[in-house]
Amino acid sequence: MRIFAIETSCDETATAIVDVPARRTLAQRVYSQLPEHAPYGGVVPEIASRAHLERLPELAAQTLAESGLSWADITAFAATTGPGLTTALVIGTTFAKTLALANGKPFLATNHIEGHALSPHFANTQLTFPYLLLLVTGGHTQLIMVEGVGRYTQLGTTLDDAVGECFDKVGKLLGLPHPAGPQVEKLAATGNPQGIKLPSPLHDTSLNFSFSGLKTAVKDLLTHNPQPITHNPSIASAFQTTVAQSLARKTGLALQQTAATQLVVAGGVAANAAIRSALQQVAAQHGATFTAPPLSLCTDNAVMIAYAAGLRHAAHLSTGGLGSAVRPRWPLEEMAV
Amino acid sequence: MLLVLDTSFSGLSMGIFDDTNQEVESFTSATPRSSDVLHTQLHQLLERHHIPPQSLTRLAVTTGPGSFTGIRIGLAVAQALALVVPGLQPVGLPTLPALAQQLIAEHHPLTPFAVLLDAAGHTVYHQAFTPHGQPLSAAVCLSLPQALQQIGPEMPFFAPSNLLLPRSAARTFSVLQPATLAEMAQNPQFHQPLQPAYIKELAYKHA
Repeated sequence: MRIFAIETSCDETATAIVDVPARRTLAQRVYSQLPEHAPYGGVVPEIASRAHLERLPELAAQTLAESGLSWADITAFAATTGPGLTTALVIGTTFAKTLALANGKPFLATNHIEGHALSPHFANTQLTFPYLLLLVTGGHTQLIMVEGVGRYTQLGTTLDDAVGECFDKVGKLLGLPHPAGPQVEKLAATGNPQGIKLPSPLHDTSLNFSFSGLKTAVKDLLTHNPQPITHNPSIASAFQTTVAQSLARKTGLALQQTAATQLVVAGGVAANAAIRSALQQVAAQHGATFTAPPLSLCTDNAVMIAYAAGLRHAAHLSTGGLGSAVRPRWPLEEMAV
Repeated sequence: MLLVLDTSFSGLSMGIFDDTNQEVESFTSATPRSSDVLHTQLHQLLERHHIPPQSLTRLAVTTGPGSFTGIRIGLAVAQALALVVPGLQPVGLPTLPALAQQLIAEHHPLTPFAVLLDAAGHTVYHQAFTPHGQPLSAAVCLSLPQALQQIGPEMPFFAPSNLLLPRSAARTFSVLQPATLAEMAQNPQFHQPLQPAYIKELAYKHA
């Protein structure tokens, strides 16, 4: 089964062809719209949508050419139909629906979070269901028990900012350029967190997260610190350490409560080495294995969309069709069987 | 076979025409977000007449100005079809001149007239035409009072039925008829590249 997928939920335009049973990427392209959004200090939905339309035809053609296949060799066409930016989702969805219609093949409406949730299963053939997933992206911070394809239980989520969003906002406060989140890690590398007091977010026994208070605490440091705060490596380090500890603590509680033997982290923030290290430690403490997909699968990509779509298609689970509308909000629990 | 498509303002308009430009079947809807049904309607339309998508030879799609998302939906369909259907010749058609052609056919204006389209945020797209459909000005995006001032008190104008206008003289329209687009597809003077006409400035500021 070969799935052609498109991902346009935010500011990456991505296409891929995946051999789903073989868990093999046959071809893929990702165009990062970073240069388009950088002057605005954040993602501008209208600019993202324009860039998706400009880039998709070329990326789709290149992906097919690289795979060595013809359109007739594709089993089905998929696109991220949510969650994400409405006007951006519409582009990939419309394009993929048209490819499906013109080729007389099914269109598979695919949930972006489900793509992330199943991406570790694509990357690691040793990984079996069930596993505990910590999803950390610019839009999501969730602890999810992945029991199988279409079988997900959300154990906890953020009550306010997503962790990636918090990294971006704190990075901005520190005077770092867009996207500020990844720059925080670089800055933190030379910092010393000792002596900088930041609050431990939502230090309770629930499995939920909260990061807006932490962001405000960094902002307060900016207001009250007599020294310039911008590009301050020690504040970056203290912030990163606090986030890593918070994620690790709640993940530890989840491992304890579920008795899961496999911990998986996915999403763009999983690229952060300090966070990976903290999670690795907490997994070891609970006797669980730890898996993190390669960076190319952590950030937004179409491989994970193709894989999730293909697994659902093979399992005869609901995959929408040509009439599927985009869903800017689409909780993973609604994908449950 | 020719496929024509408009999603550049509130509704959806599409049709299939044979090689002699006779209409096989068309579909129009003025309902907002009706582009959600575009693919199911197109699929049914092609199935009903046993037309394989691969047998399409020409495609005409409106390029705006109009709803940013709407324009992109039409262009995404055109670009995806062009990728898959060998030999397909896609062309873009400007939305305001297309509406002018339709209004001339329906109302036979004897004097110059103007066409308005909602551009959101209390602004409108506006262009004036001769009674024969020749543009008298370039398409512009203005506030509604500015547009009405530019049109002047004498010139008749046409606007979509959902656009609230202070002047009762306006005549309304709701969709672009597929037949108008099919006729324009025959005339190379209307053809444009498959590029969106974004004539409204973005309001976003640099950081």
